Amino acid sequence: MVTHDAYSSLEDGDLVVRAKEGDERAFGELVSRNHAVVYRVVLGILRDSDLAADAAQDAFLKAFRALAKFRGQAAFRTWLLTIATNEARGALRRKDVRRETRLDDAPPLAASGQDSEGWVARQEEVERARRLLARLPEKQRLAVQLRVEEGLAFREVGRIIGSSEGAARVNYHHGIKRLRAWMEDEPHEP
Amino acid sequence: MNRDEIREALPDWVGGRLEPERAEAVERAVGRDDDLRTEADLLRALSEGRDTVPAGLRDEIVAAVTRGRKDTSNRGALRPPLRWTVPAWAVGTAAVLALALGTRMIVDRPNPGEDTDETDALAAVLEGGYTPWVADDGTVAGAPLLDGLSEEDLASLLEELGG
Repeated sequence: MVTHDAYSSLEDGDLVVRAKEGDERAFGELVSRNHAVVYRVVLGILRDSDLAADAAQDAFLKAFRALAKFRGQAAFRTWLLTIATNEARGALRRKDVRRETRLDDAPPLAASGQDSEGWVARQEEVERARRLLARLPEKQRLAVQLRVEEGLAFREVGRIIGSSEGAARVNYHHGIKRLRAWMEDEPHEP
Repeated sequence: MNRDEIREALPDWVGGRLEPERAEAVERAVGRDDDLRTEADLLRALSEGRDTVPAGLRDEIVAAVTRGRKDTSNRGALRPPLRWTVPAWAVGTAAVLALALGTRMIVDRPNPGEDTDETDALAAVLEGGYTPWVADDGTVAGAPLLDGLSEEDLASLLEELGG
């Protein structure tokens, strides 16, 4: 018998083994560890919070149903994000979602310890960077998002976006280069 | 660490994921290099603005998976035995689809011999009844086509990009 605390200290691979055996708490722990990254990745593709929540849920359901076939040759997170990315792409095609980022979709930002003027300026900078990120082609956007926000290695990024490690690295650098150029060219009106 | 390595490590530095020794090396380099500092500022802005996750999403997912598990086991118990009475037209359609999918998977495969889990992911997605990895034209427009390039070509391109 594994206690609740013990689940949080288990490696993903051990949790996968237990989840395959029908241990719901093990799957629950895998959901706890990965639901945020899955949600952010599908939101990056869909740009609609309701659709993204549905797609994240569907991705976990598909992963659960296919778990018996998962052999652990990639990290569970990489495998799950590959499913999630495909799920989001499918949802995009089914729903014909508009890809433009709407300003009212922008998430609220947490206040920091800066003074209000500095905080507002910083918030504008952050929102502009996020809006410009949404303009990038999908592979570049995902490469930047997965590398910067989630800290994934290029090998993992490549598996998820469906390219080699080298192509993932180039997509990342190409995306960053374009973002920097846009930030400099359009300092106030993206 | 050379400059390329510093640049490569910037996302991890911004995210606080580097061990102290490497973090100090990156911090020193960023302090004396305007170009690296500009890039670090951009990465920090991207990282700070990352999307918030809806409250309760984790519980909704767990509940959905639990329901799915019960549905699956109930269906298994109640479903009548399968009878393989497939019409001829369906066999032909399936054969064409299998050929098309097989060709696509061979052409698109990123790393032959290393894709078994991706194949599983594809299989999971195919349960949904749509074709995976289809990129619409609007998404692809403007993106460099990199997957056919050799490692040498990629390295050259990376050098041009300053990565």
